[in-house]
Amino acid sequence: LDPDRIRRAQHGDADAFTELIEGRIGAMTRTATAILGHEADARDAVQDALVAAWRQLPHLRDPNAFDAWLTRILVHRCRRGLRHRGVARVREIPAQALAFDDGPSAPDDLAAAERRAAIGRAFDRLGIDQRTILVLHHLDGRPLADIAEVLRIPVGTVKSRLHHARIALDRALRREGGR
Amino acid sequence: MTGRSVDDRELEEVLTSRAATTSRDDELTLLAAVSGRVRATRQDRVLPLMPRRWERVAWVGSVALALVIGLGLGILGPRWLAAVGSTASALPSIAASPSPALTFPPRSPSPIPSSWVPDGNRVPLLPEQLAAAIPQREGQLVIVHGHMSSSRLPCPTGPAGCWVGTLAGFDGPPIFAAADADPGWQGGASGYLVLRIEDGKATYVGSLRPHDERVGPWPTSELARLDPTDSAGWLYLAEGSVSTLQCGASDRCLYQLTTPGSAPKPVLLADRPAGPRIQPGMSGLLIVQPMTLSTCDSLPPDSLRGCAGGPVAGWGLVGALTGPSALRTQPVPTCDRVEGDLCATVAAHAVGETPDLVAIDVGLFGARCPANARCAAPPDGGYPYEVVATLADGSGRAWICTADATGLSCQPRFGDDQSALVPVRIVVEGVASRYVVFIDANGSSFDLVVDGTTTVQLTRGRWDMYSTDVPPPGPPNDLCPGTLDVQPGSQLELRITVTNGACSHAIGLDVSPGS
Repeated sequence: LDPDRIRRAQHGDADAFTELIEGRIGAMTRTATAILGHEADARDAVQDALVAAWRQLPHLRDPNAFDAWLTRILVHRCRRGLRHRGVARVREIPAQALAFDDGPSAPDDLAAAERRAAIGRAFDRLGIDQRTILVLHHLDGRPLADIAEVLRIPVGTVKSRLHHARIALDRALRREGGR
Repeated sequence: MTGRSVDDRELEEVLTSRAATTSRDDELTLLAAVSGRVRATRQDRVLPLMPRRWERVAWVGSVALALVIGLGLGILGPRWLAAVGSTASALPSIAASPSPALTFPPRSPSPIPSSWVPDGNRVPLLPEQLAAAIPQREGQLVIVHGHMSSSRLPCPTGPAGCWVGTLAGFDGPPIFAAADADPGWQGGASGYLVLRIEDGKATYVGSLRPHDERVGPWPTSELARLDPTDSAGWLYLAEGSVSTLQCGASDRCLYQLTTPGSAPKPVLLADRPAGPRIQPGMSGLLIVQPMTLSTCDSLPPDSLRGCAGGPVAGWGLVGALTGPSALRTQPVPTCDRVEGDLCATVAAHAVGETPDLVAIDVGLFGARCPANARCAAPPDGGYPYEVVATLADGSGRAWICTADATGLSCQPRFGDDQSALVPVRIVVEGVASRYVVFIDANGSSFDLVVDGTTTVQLTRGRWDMYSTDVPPPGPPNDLCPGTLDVQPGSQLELRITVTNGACSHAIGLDVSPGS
């Protein structure tokens, strides 16, 4: 975190802002891709979030809160993106998922891969808030207190939402599993 | 295989794989794009689109004074009044101009050009009506209430690929997208689709954004409140009449769209580069899309020096509709994670039974399908779907539907049409920790205390067991009798006093009111 750079960006220094986001853009894209499940949408969300952050930066009072503030904007943009495209969507199957190995795979490997795929599909069934909290905690590795700051909710609520999200994921997985 | 819960390691693996690390080149490309947009975007502090509070107060005061004086002297025309009263906060250059009403003579007032006006059939069309409508609607916009799935194919023109859609229920050729079509459509679309008919072919232009979950026209007072970054991608059906605000030249004008009413609030309107020309005097139902406007472009040449106006948020005209329309009253069924064919069928089925329907969610039920969406029309049928429809009052209805060669047959999820899904949040106390759970079964064996006073017993059915601190104790079971009477749409906060440890972790409840 570089408070001086943040303050320069707050005063309209675009170079300072570019330097600020350069080291964060990869992580933001990863987070957005995990939430949205669609790389192009994620890039759009990141781009929109950063432009929105630039516009709103003068209103940021505490430079130390920059990361949480930026993540909050990103999550908001992801929510907006998902809501916008919340109509019918085709499921994209990555090309590598269709590739065949040279030799037969062990049954255990196939079963594990199949289960991971099912978990991925189950994750797609979750709502945006559930996806977000799982990604922030289990992919980004953020502590509960950080998530609480990003989402502006009490830590206890973070815990319960995480719990709900895991339950929802299990239920969705059972649906995917045809149980 | 999928019966056990997802553990932390599995979830982290799946999310890591899902988030597939972007390459450094991708990051740099994105950074360059952001940097370019940032340099072209003023910060709020530099050019506030919304003045600070004291500025607003001062402005409102000065406008009020001007209105009083102007009305008293009878020298202010209604156009200028409307412009000053509503757009000044977004138009500093106009507000500061000493003679804001400098306009060229308006183009000859005329009704909406006939080439834009659908006649004959009511709008929206059904997909099966589109083929017959195409020969009659050359050069016009049409609105189809339907569902399209899309895929990327080589374009008939253009350097790269483009998106082409298949409209469920329409037997004609695939529908390509216009160059500036809503990018969100690339994965498919459902709802009210705007198509342009040219050379005997339909081109996808965009989807209408519902207003309060229904496709009714947006009053300009609502459009004026929208954040343009929120509005991108959608088309909006607006109602109002167009008048000229100011012109820099005969072909560089700003217009205002006003909805009559007790508190008219115009929005700015401008010609789109590739769109139809705006005709002052046109009125009725207009299709518009968000657009960034430069106020300097519309100033007379002698006022351009030093102009600092814009860019400001405004709207571009896509087309206009008149004639009979059913757009005001129809709900907007949408489908999530389902391809067009099934979505269309389910929507028709559900809308017929539930006129207040606002959304549909379709998922597989009781069948495993590797590529979820591809199960929509299995050749031999038989895959059951769980269809959950959300009604306007927030409650839900659920069906189990089965698609086969003859169509889709649906049965209410819980045995009668009064079934409802009611989200229930309960807090379990009495064991070692505090539990926050969702009920999703018809019963449990323990007492429920509603709001700390009312005791309720649940009845019938299965229940799952989870807690925040204790691992799930096992599969669902059916041991718990009782009755819970709630109404569709009820939101309940329940506190459970545990009387039977075996039932202390119940989650989830499908509620059948009155059962």
